[in-house]
Amino acid sequence: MNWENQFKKFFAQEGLELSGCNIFIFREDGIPMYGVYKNLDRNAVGALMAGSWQAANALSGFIQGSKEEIFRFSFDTAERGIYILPFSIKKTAFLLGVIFQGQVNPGLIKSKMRQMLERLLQHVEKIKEETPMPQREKFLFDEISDREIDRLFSFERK
Amino acid sequence: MSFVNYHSKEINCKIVYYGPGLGGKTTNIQYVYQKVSGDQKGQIISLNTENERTLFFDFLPLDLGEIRGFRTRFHLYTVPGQVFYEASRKLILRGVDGIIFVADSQVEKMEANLESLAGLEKNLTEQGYDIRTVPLVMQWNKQDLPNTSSEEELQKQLNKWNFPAYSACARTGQGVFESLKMVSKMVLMNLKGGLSTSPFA
Repeated sequence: MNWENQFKKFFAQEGLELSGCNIFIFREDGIPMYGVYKNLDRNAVGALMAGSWQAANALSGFIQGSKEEIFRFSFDTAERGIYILPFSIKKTAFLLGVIFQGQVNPGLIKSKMRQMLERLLQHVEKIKEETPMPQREKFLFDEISDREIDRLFSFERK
Repeated sequence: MSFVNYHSKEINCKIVYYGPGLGGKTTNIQYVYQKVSGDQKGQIISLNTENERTLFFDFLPLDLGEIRGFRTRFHLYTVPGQVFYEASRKLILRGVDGIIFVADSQVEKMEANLESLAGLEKNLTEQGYDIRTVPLVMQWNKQDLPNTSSEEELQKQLNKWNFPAYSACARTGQGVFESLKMVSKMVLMNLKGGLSTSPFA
C-alpha cells in the first residue's frame, strides 16, 4: 500500500469518463503521484502545474480576507484549458489537476473534477481509519560511500 | 520534502540551485543536461525573461538509477537570482531537500553573494528549516576569471557553517558534478527510513 497505489485504485474504481482530459495528482512541490500522460512529460507537467499553482496561491495572498477560502486555479478558453484543485492529507498538500481540450462545456469538466475530489477525499478517509500511522525516525541509509554515488552518476558523459 | 515510495522502491528529491543573479545557476543545470544521456534526463524547462534571465525557475528531472534497490529521481531547480524576484525564490524553496549555493567568485560580487546568502537563510527560517541542518553545498563559481576572491576568502566570508565547498567553472563543467554528487549524497543520507508500509507516510 502506498500513495500512488491508493490514487491508482481510486481512479480505477472511478472510471475516467472525462474524454479529452488528462488528469493528474501531484504533491505541491510538483512530484507526480498519479496521472495518465498521453504524449506529455510527467515531470514537466508536475513542475509547471505546481509552479503555476504556487505563484497563483501566493498572489491570492494580496486579496483581503482570502486566507480562509480554498482557491482553485483555472486557465482556459471556451474549449481547452487547465484546472487545478488543492487538497491535503495528513498535512501533505496535493494538487488534483486536469488538462482538457475539445470540450463543449469546460464548466462541466470543472464541476466533475470538484465532485471527483470529494469522492477521492472520502476514499482516503476510509483508508486512514483502517491504517495505523507509521513512525519514521530512523534514516533510510546509514552511510553511503563515494563509490555508490559515483555509480549513481555513471551516466555522466566525458 | 523528499518522497520515498517503499512499495515501488522509488526516491524523489528536490535540489535547488540558489545564489546571486548571473552567478551561473542556470549554466550548472544546462551543463548537467548536456552531459546526461537521453533516457536518464527529462525535458529541461526554463521560464525566462526576454533577455534570457531566469524569471521563475529552470527545471531538470534526472533519473539516476538505483541505490540499494531504490530507484532515485532528482528534480533540479534554479531560482531567479535577481533581487526583485524574492517572492519566487521563496516558492521554489518549498519542500527543498538539498541546496547548492552558487557563489560568484568575482571580487565585486561579494556583496551580492552575502545578500543572497542572507536571503537564503531568512527564507529557510521562514519555512521552518534551520540552515545548519539542511544538506547544503557551496560552489565557488567563475574561478577561471582573473579578478576572483581566493577560496580562503570565500570560505571565510560565506561559509561560517563549514559546508562542503567546491571550486567551479560551470561554463566548462569544472566542479559541477562534484557539487551535485556531494549534495545528492547528503540528501540521500538525510532521508528518513523505517519499516512501515502505510500509505500515509
